[in-house]
Amino acid sequence: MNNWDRDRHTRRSFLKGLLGTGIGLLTGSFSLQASAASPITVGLQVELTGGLSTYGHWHLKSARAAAKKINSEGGIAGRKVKLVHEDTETDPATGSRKMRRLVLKRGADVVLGSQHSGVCLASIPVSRRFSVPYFPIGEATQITGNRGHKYVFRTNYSVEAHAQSGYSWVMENLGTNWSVIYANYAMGQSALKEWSSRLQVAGGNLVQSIAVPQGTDDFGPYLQKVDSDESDLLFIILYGPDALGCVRRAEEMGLNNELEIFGNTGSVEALGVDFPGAEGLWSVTNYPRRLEEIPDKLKSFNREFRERVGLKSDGSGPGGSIVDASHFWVPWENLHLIKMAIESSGWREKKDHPRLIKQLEGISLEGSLEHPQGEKYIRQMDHQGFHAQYIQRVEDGTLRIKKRLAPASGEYEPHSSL
Amino acid sequence: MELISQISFGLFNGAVWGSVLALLSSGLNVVFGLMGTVNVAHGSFYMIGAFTSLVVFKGLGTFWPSLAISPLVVGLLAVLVGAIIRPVRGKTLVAVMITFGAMLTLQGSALIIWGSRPRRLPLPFMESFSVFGSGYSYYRLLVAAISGLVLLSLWFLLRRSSLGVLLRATRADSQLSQSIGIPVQKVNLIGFGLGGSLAGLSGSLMAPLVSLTPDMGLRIFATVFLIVILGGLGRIWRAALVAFVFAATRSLTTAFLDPTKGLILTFSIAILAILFESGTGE
Repeated sequence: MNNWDRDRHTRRSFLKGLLGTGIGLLTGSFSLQASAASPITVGLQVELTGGLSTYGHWHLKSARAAAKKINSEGGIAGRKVKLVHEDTETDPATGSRKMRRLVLKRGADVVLGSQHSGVCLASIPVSRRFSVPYFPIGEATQITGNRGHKYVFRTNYSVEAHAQSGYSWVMENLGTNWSVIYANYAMGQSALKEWSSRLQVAGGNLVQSIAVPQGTDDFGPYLQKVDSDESDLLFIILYGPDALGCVRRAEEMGLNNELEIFGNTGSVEALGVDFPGAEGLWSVTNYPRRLEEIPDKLKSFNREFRERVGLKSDGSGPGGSIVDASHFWVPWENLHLIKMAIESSGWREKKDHPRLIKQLEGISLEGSLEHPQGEKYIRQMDHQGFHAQYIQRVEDGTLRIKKRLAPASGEYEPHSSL
Repeated sequence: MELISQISFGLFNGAVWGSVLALLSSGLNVVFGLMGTVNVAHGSFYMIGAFTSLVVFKGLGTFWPSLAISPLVVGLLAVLVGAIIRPVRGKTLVAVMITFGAMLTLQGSALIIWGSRPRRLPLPFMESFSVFGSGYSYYRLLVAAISGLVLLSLWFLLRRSSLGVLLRATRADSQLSQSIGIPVQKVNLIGFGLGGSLAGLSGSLMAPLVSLTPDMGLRIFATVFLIVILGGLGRIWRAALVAFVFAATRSLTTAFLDPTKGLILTFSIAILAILFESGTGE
């Protein structure tokens, strides 16, 4: 090969290279344009059937309303939000399978998670395996404890945060001798542990703890065990039909005349309270059911938020359905949180997830239309959120807020450092 | 003293619950006896009976008419399911699958109509009396009394009435019955309707005592099915006896054990009884 040949070869290589570069730049540009125009897919893992479907019904409404609002305002960083959802059937195995489906088949960039702690715990490994940001709602402490990881963020309270925030108020106002009747599965056992351990450390007395299987129709034999002479308070850790059945039977057996009755967050969720057995029932919630009970500075945001979701000021929706006030705001807020984090971090695609996560860690949020529940922050160490909660009581057939507990009141020692 | 009152309450409460379980299981038994198939939709019939009571209460402002309306509505629904099954009579698995489909359809329909929020009906009367220190509604006693009365009537119907003779003849040999002019198809449908009516009545009676949800029938079906298996398919009085023993055992184990151990003990007793029954049967 002479010099000319070598030169010619060099020119040819140069031209080829130039052509290649041109094509590369063109396709890259097209790719970037496509990325900018393609929608951001948000998966929603939701309970539409099974025991927690009263929650799922409102979670879907809340997420849809948020996606609609965001899209009408130009989307996220100029890209539309595509909301895709899958029904977990309130079953951990199904929920985990649906999480995979959302990620692998339906192309979810991020997933808004389930209300069911079992589903959340079963889905966390899927989130880790495929490095997908996951925003579960379930309250089990482990979700942001020993089972959490870098891609998991829970913006609402955990069982432990509820107990930390509420136990001293309950002891001071309702009594220090507690009989606890609890659902005999992960959530109930976890709540019993968190509340009763704090009670005992503070010098209170756990008179008895009575486990009840999920789906109990006859509460008579369980409530008959309650030692009303030794107890000041009957603490109910149940939800849905079980909570309703327990409260009604307690009234029939005359326990509501002998003891104060206090329920956890699930105890009056999605239930009407205008019946005699509910009168005087205390409970804890993340969000007031009735608009007039919302703090003044948040009222206008909540009026619009409720209109967009389809919720009346009394906490009822179409067909007389009653909202699960403690949690229905979470998908709305989380979708807006994701929008804010994407836009401020410059996230474009899945490889940018670390930037998105960094943006969310330790973030503080003010009450707004995007965050109608109110101010809150996400702890950097374990990605656990803290916000206000409320003590409420049924009076004249209506839920009335008796005490607001500040966001920091629920803060407990983190169980992990991510 | 406390121990005695807990045992006494457990037995008393078990007897009341047992009466309803006996009534509900009798409906399942009647259908099995006639059609030779387990009606998986029986629990859903119970649920529809309960929700019919809710509709009647909301519409008329009183609960009592629902004790007649619910059995009628559910009975007609059962006749419809029976008519669907009729062509596959003898193909047990296919028939079971059809009733399974009916169960899902009814449960899904209830979810669409009434939603998943638990509903409640007020007790028809609030008066109560003390049972070993705990308040107990008179309505529960009424439920037990009506259940007992209906079971007795059912026994008379099957053993002493001409309809009972037709039902039993059809069950014993449908071909022979047809050959001597018994309208077998019609009798089968009547039997299916009767079973459904009993489920509807059970649901209606229980409506003021339990939380009403679309899956309430599914929850109770497993218990009722076990009772019917233990009592012997087609044997109404034995199933009723098992229902009482089962309810009392559960009530008593609940008083002294945690629910998991109580359930294990109750079902262990049930399994042992089935094994014993199978052994003596041979």
